[in-house]
Amino acid sequence: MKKWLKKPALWDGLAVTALSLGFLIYSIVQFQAMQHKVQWIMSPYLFPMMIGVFAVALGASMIREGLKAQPAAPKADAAETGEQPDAAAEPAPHRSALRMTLDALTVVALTVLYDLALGWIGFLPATAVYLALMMLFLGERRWYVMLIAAAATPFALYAIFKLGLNVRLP
Amino acid sequence: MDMLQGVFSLFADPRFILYVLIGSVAGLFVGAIPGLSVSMATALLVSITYTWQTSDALATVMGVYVVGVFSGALSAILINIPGAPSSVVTTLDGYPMAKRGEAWKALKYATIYSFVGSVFGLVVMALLARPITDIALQFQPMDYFLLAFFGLATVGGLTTKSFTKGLFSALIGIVLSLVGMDSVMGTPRLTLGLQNLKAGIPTVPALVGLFGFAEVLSVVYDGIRDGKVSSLGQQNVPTRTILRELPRSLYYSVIGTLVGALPGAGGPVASFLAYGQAKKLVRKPSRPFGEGAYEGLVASESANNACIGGALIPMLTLAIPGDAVTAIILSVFTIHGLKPGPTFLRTGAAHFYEILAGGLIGCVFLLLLGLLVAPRISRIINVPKRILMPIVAVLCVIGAYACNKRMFDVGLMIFFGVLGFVLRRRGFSSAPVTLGLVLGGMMDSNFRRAMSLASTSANPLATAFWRPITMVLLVLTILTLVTNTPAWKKWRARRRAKAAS
Repeated sequence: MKKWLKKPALWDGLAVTALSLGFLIYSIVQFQAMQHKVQWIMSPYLFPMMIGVFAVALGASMIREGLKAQPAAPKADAAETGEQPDAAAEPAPHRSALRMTLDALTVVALTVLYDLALGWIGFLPATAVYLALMMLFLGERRWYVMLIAAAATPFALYAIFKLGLNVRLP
Repeated sequence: MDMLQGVFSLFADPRFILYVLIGSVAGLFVGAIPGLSVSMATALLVSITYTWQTSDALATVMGVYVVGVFSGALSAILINIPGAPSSVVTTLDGYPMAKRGEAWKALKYATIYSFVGSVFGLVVMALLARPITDIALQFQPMDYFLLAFFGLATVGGLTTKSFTKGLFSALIGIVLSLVGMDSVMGTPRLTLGLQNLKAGIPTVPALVGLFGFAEVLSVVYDGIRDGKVSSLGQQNVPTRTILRELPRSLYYSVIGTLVGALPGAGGPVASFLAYGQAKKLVRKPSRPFGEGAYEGLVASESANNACIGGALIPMLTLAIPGDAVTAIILSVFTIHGLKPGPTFLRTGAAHFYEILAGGLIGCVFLLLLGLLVAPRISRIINVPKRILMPIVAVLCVIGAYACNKRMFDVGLMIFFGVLGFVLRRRGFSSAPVTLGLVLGGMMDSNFRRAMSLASTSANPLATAFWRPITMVLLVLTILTLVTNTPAWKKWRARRRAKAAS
């Protein structure tokens, strides 16, 4: 069981198969429901059903590949693997997988809030607040950079899109 | 003759040239800054150019496309981070050249041979579009279905390490394209009861999410890393060297154009293939390959830029996009009410000339911007990502909203961003999803039309498949599927091992 847990390809296969099966079953149910209304060959669910069958087959193939795959080993040092470090880029600080996922989820949450705030307070103030919060979250600590970027960018975007390109802004 | 006249009349149109220039400058920055991609910029442009005249929109898009593909080489050479996937190979020799103090030289080689590749691809497109159109006019619904299926099978095999994952990504795109009113029966399908989904999933928010917002999430997930720019000192490239490399550059351009024309392949594959050929062709490189040989740079840049013309051929003549960017350009066409396909050269000849002229003028700007401006913007490509990424996220929101003016579309963009991010993390790819999304509706309607035609004849199988074009496409599709199965790969490996022993 422990071995299985360390096989990400297997989990991918299981997820794909489950999703595909769900889609196939839904398509079959809808296909059946439409049978008395249209000829089967013209049913809107014929093609989705075919896609579902194909996707389940792909999922099964991924499970097979996953079962044969070697369990994922813990990441070795660059020196051990012989990998060339990216000489030009500064190294990213080490973070756990959970922290990385939480960071991405925070950006999603902030963007959803921004989406809602656009309707409540309008484009300019909502964008300024969103930019400031995002920069702060991504590690910008120079207050004057944040202030200038958060205050100037919404106006610049408004001038370019609304006045220059005649694009409707949210 | 008409084509020459049509194209060259646009060369004298200042408004058209101005729009190509705007696109080219945007392409230069977008392609050069890691984290911004040509696909993302084109997707955003679709919504911005929505209210523009078609010729202005096409001019801008072609400027972004041609110069954006080239400018991925800037960050590849200067900071060892490819600005675009097709510039990955450029880092192999470009960055070692920069480290040796030859960054300026490397940029010149990249510019000149990107220009050669781009012009070659576009000329081939101009020459081949009509003959391919003549063949495409004979296509039946089943042929369209099989051609799209072949394209998705190819893209599945080329864009990810696992064929099954690539193909599954394409299926996700197809399923999403089926959401909305069924075009044949007029009944809602897969809408989950949501009124807003009855008109289908709009392409622009989906593309902006898949390429723009997903990139923001990936950068945040991986941690903010900014590169260090190599120093630039002015250097000359001898004309003799440029001319000596020209025949080889044309050969790599042929590879690039052919690979570009394959649905789903594109720049990364073309540059890898050309680089492999360069290793075989050049017996005495200036330095060993991978350690700063300009011959490697010539191969990768000629090939990935030649893909532009190649990728546009199936998009314009068959409405089958060659890569993610052409899939997005296809949605520019749809938004402006144009229908690419076999009849496009007749019904939309003027727009075909605009694409060709936009591409060629874009090549001229590529040369000018690459030689004169690119070396001077090296500091700008290193904009801190903690400032850049929030602005990209705001641009994604604007881009998603602008087309239909619905906040629902912004929500869809966020959904697609998360989907694209999750797919990338699990080793799937966004490119097949895009192609599936663009081609799915066409596949569904053509498949049902073909089945309906076949069901009325005495011999349904013969009606559906017994035609030379259909048979060729069927065989190609089956071959692509079979040769990518694990069993086939194992058999090939065993045969190779036997031959070697």
